[in-house]
Amino acid sequence: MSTPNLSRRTLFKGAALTALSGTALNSLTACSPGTGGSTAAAGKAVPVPTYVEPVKPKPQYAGNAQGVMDVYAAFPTNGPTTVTGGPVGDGSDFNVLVMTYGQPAPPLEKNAYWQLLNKELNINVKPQLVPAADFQTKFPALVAGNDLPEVVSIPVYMNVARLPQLAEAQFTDLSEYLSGDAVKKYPNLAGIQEANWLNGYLNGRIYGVPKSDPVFTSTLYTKTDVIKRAGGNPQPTTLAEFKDLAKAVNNPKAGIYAFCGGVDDITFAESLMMSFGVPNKWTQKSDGTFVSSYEHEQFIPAVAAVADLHASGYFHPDTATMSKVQRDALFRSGKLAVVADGNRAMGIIADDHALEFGMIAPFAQDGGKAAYWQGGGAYAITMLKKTSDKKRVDRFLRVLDYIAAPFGSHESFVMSYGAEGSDYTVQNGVPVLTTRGQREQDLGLAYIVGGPQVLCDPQGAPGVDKQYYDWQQKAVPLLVPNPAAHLYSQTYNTKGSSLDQKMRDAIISVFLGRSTASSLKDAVATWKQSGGDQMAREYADSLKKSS
Amino acid sequence: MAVNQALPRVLRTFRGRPPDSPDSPEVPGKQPRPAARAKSFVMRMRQDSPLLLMTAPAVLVLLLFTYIPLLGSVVAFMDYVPFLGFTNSQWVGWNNFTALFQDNLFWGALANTFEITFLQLLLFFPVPIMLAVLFNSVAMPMVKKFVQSVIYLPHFLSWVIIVALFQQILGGGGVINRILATHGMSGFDIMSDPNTFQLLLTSQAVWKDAGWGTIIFLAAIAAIDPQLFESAAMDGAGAWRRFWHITLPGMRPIIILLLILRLGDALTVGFEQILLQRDAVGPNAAEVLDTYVYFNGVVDGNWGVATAAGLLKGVVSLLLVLAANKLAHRFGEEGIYRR
Amino acid sequence: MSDRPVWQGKPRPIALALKGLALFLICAVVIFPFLSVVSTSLATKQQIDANGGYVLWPTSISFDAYRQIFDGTGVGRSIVISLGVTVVGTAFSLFCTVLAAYGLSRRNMLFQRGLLSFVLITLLFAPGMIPVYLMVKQMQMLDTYWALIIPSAVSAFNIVIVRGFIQAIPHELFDSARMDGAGEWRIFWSLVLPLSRAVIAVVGLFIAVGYWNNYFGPLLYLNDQTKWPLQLVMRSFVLQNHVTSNSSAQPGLAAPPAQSVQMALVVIATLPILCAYPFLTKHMSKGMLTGAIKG
Repeated sequence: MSTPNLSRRTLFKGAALTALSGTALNSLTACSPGTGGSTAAAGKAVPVPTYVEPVKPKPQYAGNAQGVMDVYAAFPTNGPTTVTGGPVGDGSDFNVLVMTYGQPAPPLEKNAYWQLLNKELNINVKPQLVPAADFQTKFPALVAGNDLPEVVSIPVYMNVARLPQLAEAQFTDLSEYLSGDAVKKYPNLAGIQEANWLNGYLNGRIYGVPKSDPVFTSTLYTKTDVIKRAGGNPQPTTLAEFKDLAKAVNNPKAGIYAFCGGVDDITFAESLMMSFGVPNKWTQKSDGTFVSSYEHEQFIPAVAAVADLHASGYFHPDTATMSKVQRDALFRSGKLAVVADGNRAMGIIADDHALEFGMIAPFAQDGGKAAYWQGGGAYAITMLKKTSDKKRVDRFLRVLDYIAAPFGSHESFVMSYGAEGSDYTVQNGVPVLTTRGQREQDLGLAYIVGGPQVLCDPQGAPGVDKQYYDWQQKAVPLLVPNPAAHLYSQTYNTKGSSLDQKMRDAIISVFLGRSTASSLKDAVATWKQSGGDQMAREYADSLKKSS
Repeated sequence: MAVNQALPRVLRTFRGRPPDSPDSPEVPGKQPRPAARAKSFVMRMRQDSPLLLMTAPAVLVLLLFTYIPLLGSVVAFMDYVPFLGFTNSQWVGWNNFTALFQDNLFWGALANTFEITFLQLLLFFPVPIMLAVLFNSVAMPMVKKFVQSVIYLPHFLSWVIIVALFQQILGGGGVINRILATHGMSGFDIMSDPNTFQLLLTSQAVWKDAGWGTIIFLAAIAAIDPQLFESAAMDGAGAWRRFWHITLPGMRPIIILLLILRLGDALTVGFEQILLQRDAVGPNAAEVLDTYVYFNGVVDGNWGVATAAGLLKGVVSLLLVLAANKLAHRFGEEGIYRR
Repeated sequence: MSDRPVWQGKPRPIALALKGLALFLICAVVIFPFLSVVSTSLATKQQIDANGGYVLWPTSISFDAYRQIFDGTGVGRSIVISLGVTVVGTAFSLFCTVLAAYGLSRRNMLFQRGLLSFVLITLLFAPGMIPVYLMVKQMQMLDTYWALIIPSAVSAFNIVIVRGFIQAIPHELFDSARMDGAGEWRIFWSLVLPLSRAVIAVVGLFIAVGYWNNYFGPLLYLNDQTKWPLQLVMRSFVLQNHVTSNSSAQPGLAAPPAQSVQMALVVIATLPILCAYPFLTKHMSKGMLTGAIKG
């Protein structure tokens, strides 16, 4: 029988957390150019690292500074070398903690990619991979045991408790190496943009080097062939048209349903919130105070609209228990017409050449201007354990500089393709990654640092990158940032996840028709009282201090 | 050897309830204690040293990996922050406990937990016993062996898979509902009905673990002396009477033992299983103590609250086990512990 | 063929039919999910998609999933590790458990009450994850297989079960052994052990399955991925897929493993237990006294 402590029961923690933060990557952990009630002297934030635009090959379709990604047909095989000045590392071990969604890579002696990387970087990469589902379990134990390796990469959406204080106690303040023009010593790090860097700020100082994330959050994916066959319009521009689409495709007798939430029902609801113009988590009023999006007048109507779609029978009946595996299978086989998912789903769907799919451009329910919630800018930040040894810091930054090399460079090619023969082969002048090559790359390094990402998937289904590019063109003008994204709230940091969960429960309860939409009023009131109001005050405070 | 010579006597005494313990009274009758007390401590120490030595490895492991770490439960009274450690984290007195007690959701979760435990004691607990008796009555060795080797299979599938399979068969869009729909019949949706959720949980648990649970009862039945059945049969007892007077009494000590152990676990009900299905029915029906603590402590790295809840569970379990044990003694059973 | 004891009368045909039907239904219900897992592991992606994630019966059979698993994923090595940890762990754990159970079954042993309470309390109060981690670290066990074996070796539950069975051994047997001048160790070896074969097999199975299925210990105590046992590797295949996809598309970010691969891993992880079980049932079904006569 045994009564294991609860902390052991965290099997689904990662999954649950991620589901819960579906699109809410923007609800950041602890990233503030300001300061969060810590022991640090609250002061003005150090200047952001100077941005130096990286040299890049001419894209097939050019992106823009607002976030549209460059599209390339293939990876240039003879790109320029961007990291100069002798060997990168000093031949010593590079112990790095990385959260991974992948599977264990083949061991070093059987891994050509890993061997090549060690040689190129002149270090001995020793990744300590933590499965995403278990990060919140393992990380605190490592902290408590003082067992964190020298380099630690933390996904930004993992609300690591008291990160600013932890950073101050155990990690190196990188400000003097990176702030302002200092970053120019590491040209590839200088190619990381401000919105990304803000994630690495803790207590107004730079502790983390970011891995940038596209500005996009979640998307409604459509199974266009199913919709066309049913005579529906795969690009609705109003809520009414969206309903028409659902009505056209929905055919329970044939087992075909218009929508499915799956593990992230909330993501679907959030898509409609965007259509209703609900702001991205917070808005800042002219007097500097912060107001939660839950208090926005369109929040409850947006949830009510989802509930209405559900009540009309447009959702798969098992939407609430459906696992992602099952949902994706149903989508691929044409049993679901529209699903909501994060932007990486694009990459996964795009691998399937036989699959016909599209993406719904953000639309406003009344045909006006839609809102599209902008991401927080970074997937992860990478930090260095406390050291005053400048050489150690330099080595760390040089290694990151190599890993952050922009698309088209020699370094980026090595990172993406590895060793010729075992990891990739050149077919018609285009490098093609082998299955083995994909597996050998699961060292997690791709997740720890980097500037803007591009769309380049020569092995994917043709036309998909262009389709995503077109969608991005439509979404970018509608981006709504979260004004609190890079501010710190102690209350959010210590109570945020459980408060979010209660709101999530309330939303799903309305969505599935267990409660009336008006019940959300109480839920919001409770949320405000048990921490929401406090968060608003802390964000305002944090902003005041930093500027 | 000696064992064999003892056999006939065993057969006479092993009818019905087995004797309390392997301890042998030095003189017939129940008075070993005073006699033992009279011996000097040193003498007893010498006499019992082999026995003490036997328990030593287990005691040592428990001491190192349970008792010393249990000292860490002081974080129930702290705002524990891992990088500050036990010495630098802030003391908060009973705050973590009052935070639990003052939350209506906590009491709701506790009520749900007890309801589910009660339901499972009623509907799940007897199933493995009945299955074990049924399997044991199978006469054909091939069939018996086959059944025994497959019955525990679902135990090895994770809840992710079990829930998915349940959904695929019984869900609103599942096989059965699709068949009903094509024949023009109205469907049902037991996967998302809050009113029957606890029954759903129990049936899933039965499906997954009832077979696994039979193993220990099969061993208990096997431990019953076959000659008892034989002589009963010769006295003209039918199958039903043999079951009632021999099989069941033979299994009784182990049944009682497992029942008490289950009570000690009363506040623990399928965390993973519930977490996977919680959204479908909502927290009112599905929140149990473990999920409550998960969402109100663990997700925010709030170790203090989680540990406080763990201690509470321990105390409640202790009370339940003591009460159940006492009850067992009333009925003349050994239970788990006897003074 | 039947091994019905002579004293047991022939059951009525109707009872027999009912029993057969019940057994058939039970087996069907129990085999079905596993069959579905096996089928899914052998099915193609199209079939799996068409069936919504799980195939009940494959129309064509493909061993691709199994081939993929053994191509450089380290699954082969992790199976060896899991087997090793399970065998050594079960031996060590049984050693501690059965000895302690016998000691604690002796009511007039010195400190018996105290020691029994000491063991029983661990049923009710479990230490937190972090304190145990710190202890394992203190014992220099991090990144060693001992961390997977020793901390979880002793469970009060198992001790209580074994003790329950030992207490059911007729005390006359102990009496006569003692009259023969047998010491405690001798009694343990030649009387308790043979008479407890059934329960040792059962509890041994519990323990072995516990070690085999344990992913939490390895997750916490092993940083070196090359030491990961099967369950942890499997977890990285099965659970990762249930996470919302949130990072951008780029070459090198492999898609999550196919459903067939995940199910193939489940099959692989269950096989050893399936193979070991018949050997255990042999001991489990042996009655205690048959054991005594042989012993």
